[in-house]
Amino acid sequence: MYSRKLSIHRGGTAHGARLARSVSKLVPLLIILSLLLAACGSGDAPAASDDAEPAAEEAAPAAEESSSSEAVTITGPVLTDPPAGAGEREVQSEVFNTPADAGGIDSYQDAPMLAEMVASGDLPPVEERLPINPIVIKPEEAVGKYGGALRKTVSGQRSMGEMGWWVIEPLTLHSPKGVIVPNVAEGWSWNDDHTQLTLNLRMGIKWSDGEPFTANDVLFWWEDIILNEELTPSPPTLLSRGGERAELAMIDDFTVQFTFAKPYALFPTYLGSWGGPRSGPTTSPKHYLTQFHPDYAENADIEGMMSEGSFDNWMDLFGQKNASINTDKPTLAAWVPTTVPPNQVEVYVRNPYFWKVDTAGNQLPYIDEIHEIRVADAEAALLKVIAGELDFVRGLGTANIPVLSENRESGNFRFAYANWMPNAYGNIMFNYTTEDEAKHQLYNDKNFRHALSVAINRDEIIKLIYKGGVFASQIAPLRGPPYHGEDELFQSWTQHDPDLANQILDDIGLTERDDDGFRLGPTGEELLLIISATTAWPSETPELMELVKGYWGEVGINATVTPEAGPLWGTRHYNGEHDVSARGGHFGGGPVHPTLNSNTFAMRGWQWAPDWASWLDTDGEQGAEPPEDVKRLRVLRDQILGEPDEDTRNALMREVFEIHMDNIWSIGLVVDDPKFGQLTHVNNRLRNVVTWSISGEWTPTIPAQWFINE
Amino acid sequence: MLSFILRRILLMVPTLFVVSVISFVIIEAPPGDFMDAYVDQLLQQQEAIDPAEIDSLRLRYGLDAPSYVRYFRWLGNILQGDLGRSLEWNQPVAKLITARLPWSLAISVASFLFAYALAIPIGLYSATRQYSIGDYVFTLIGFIGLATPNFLLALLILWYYFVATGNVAVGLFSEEFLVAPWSFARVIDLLKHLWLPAVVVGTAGTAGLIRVMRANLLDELERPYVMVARSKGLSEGKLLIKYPFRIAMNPVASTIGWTLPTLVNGELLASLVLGLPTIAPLFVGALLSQDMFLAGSVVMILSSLTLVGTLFSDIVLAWLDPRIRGAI
Repeated sequence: MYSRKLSIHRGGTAHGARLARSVSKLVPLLIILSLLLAACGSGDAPAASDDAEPAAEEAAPAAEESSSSEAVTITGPVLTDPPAGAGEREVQSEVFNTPADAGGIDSYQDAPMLAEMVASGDLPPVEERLPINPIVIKPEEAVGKYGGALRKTVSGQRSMGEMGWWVIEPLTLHSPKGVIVPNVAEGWSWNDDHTQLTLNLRMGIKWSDGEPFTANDVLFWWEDIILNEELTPSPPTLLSRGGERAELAMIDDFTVQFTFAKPYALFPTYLGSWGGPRSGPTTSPKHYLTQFHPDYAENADIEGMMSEGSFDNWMDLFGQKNASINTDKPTLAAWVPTTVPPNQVEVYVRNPYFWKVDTAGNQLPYIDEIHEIRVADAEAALLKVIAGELDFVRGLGTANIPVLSENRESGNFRFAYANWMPNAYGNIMFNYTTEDEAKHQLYNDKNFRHALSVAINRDEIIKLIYKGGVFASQIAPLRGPPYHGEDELFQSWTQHDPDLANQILDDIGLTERDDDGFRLGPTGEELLLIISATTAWPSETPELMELVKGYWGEVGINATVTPEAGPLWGTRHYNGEHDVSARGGHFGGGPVHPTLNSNTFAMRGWQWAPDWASWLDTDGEQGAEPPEDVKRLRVLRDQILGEPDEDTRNALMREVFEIHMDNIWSIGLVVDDPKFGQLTHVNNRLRNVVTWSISGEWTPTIPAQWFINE
Repeated sequence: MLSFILRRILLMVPTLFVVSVISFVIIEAPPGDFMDAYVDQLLQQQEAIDPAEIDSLRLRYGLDAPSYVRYFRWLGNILQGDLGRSLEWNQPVAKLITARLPWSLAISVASFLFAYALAIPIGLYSATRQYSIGDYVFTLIGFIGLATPNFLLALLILWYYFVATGNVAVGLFSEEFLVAPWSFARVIDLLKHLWLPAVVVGTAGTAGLIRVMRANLLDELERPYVMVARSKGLSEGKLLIKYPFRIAMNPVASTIGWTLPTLVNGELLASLVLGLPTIAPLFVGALLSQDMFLAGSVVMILSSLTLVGTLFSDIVLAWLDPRIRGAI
């Protein structure tokens, strides 16, 4: 009874849509005709806008009523008001875990293209495709309309642009407001000491090929990928706790349980965090991947596929089949890839089984297709932006902001930004394990680092190199709560005070000077700091260091700058071949929990003192023993991972940052203002985009709710 | 003649071997490997990296083996006709290259047609009206064309085209045809976009060709047979096309042999700027990311084409001039 009513509706709408479409095709034709016929075109213009208005009026009630099968018939724009500019509106989007939480949903609708497939019997009806409790998204601005293609860019060398993030639907997710909320997991619970996490999966979610998603898929990821030593020789660090690997058990078809050796209260956050174990559990369709896994498939079959694709070993074959760009691999994401890169344009189409709906019961996403257009040259991409040929582009570069602002109206676009962890530019690192005795002693003396830091005139650097968009600061975490990167703490030793610098340098015994007025080392030998500046990130690092060299010269410290290409810099740096070195850096914050950042916690790959980090990692077998404060960072990290109370966790984080700001292991120059550094270009035809995102990757803001307002 | 060709083909084998060693060394010369480049790229994109994952990938790709082991592994595969897999794109190199070869050829052929269609008449004009105002104008344009790097020309044309028409001439299709299946309208759309890369890539070649054509024709025009023909009353146009022009075309035609490699890779920088789906951007990307198999394969293919092109030219020359056959 219920479904019959729906199908009648659908038939009616499809017909209406076709009619409306042909009318909308006629409208421009009519306008052109009338323009040609009439001597003066201005008289006809109001007639054209009269035609458009009813469509907009129709749309408005559709947005309010929950029965929005009429939404399909919208031919004009849903929204007529101009979109809000960057940061002008608080985030409005909300994520409801179940339809009940959203106040109940009467019926579900789907996109016209899917409705047609249902009508012809190629696809089950939308109610059968959705899980028992689909996630309900309260759209940012209004219930949108279906259709259109989102035009984005992908650079010449990457297989996926932002889609690389968008194709992942993790177990938990950062909500648009920055809180961890359920996603593929409908809920979770801890045991008392936070060593055992029970995750309840959302029942009835289906892969994009229609197969059900169950705990078997999560277990396959764990047992056959993570625990397979050939596929994963060294398991991800974050799946271990207290030096022991976690255990995963399947309780029933929709329940899995992680067990850790020590409390790990932060784990649900990691499941949804960039850099955390967020992709594997929900991107490993067992029914598909077992064909390529020797524990399940016949060896002869695998070998056949290997020789066909010229693979050397089964792991490579499996890796390729398990890649998110594989067009055959089922996914849980809103859009499914249909092209194998590199192509001129990479096309993603809607997943008919996507398991999120809007508050009116429309299955998301609204947008039919994503087109990632391959533009190798940054200038060409900029030109396309100015011409209004792209809908959503991140990271066009701070240098281009004036050009973009100038063309904002002609290109019909607006800006949005992401409140991302700030990029610290030109942070200066010292080789704490250098074999030069005198330097070893100096670099390990925090007073020496303090003196060098206050010798730098950061305000002048900002004026000369950046022309705004950055703040003078040591490396800092996210601004605002809960880490407060704007706090005075991160201004420690950033004042320009050459007198203080001179005094400290005198106090630590660098009083002898050479003929040129440069200070001699502690034992009277020449002291020359060799700064290796990367040219890769940021590219202005050598210029920054030339200025720094000048400021240090003013307090009698002799330095020289050698620019090095990115990969060369990296190789030499991690081999401990640099004396002093400079590159960008982060402290984390926001969707990237600071505990995931190796700089903050002296973890493996610590940019500032790799040798100290490796000593801690190997219990003293390799590297060099770090000072007590560094060891303390690791102890604090361990406490933070296990601490369930957020306030306590933030207090511990505060202590971590205080240790850093006392030691200044790396001298920071400036951090960028996310309003500029993460400036994003959004075409005005694209709506429901939040005016600012908590994350530079924009996934938390749910691109599935975006729609083309035309 | 046959033994000459055989000897030349046999000589190609050691040459190719030397080329393979040199290209491997050059590609491997920068410090670090594919994984370092990969990590560096991730860091720039502000992505977090799990060092455990990087270590396991390096092990899987065999990047931990010493370089001579990797060289012979690579060479062994090539000898068996297997170009290997691109680390960057996770696809067989052969598939990547064949998918893009038609586009490279289309653009190169279009630019050659443009270059020859323009250069030959202009060369003819310049030679017959030497030191006229027209000659000076074409010479000036020709030198500017020779001296301007074609990526710069591409950027300039892009910008002025945008200012004039409001369209961005990046890529080979307009928006509505970008993902459409092949149709007549799509071919027309392609032709509408193909002229720009053809002009950009062809300009430098045009300038060179004009000079060659002009110089050759000037030489011929002073020959006694031209004077005889004139004195016999042959019309100027008929005389020009029938005799000196044909002889002047010879050197122009013999350069075609060398242009084989440029057919595949001649539009390198312009392709990057114009966002064309050719081999060139793939090659540049592979060099930057130290994707050994892809970069090495492209270098090997280019070298082979150079050798084949030279062989072709030599055969033509030997056929024309028997004295050359004994020389090598």
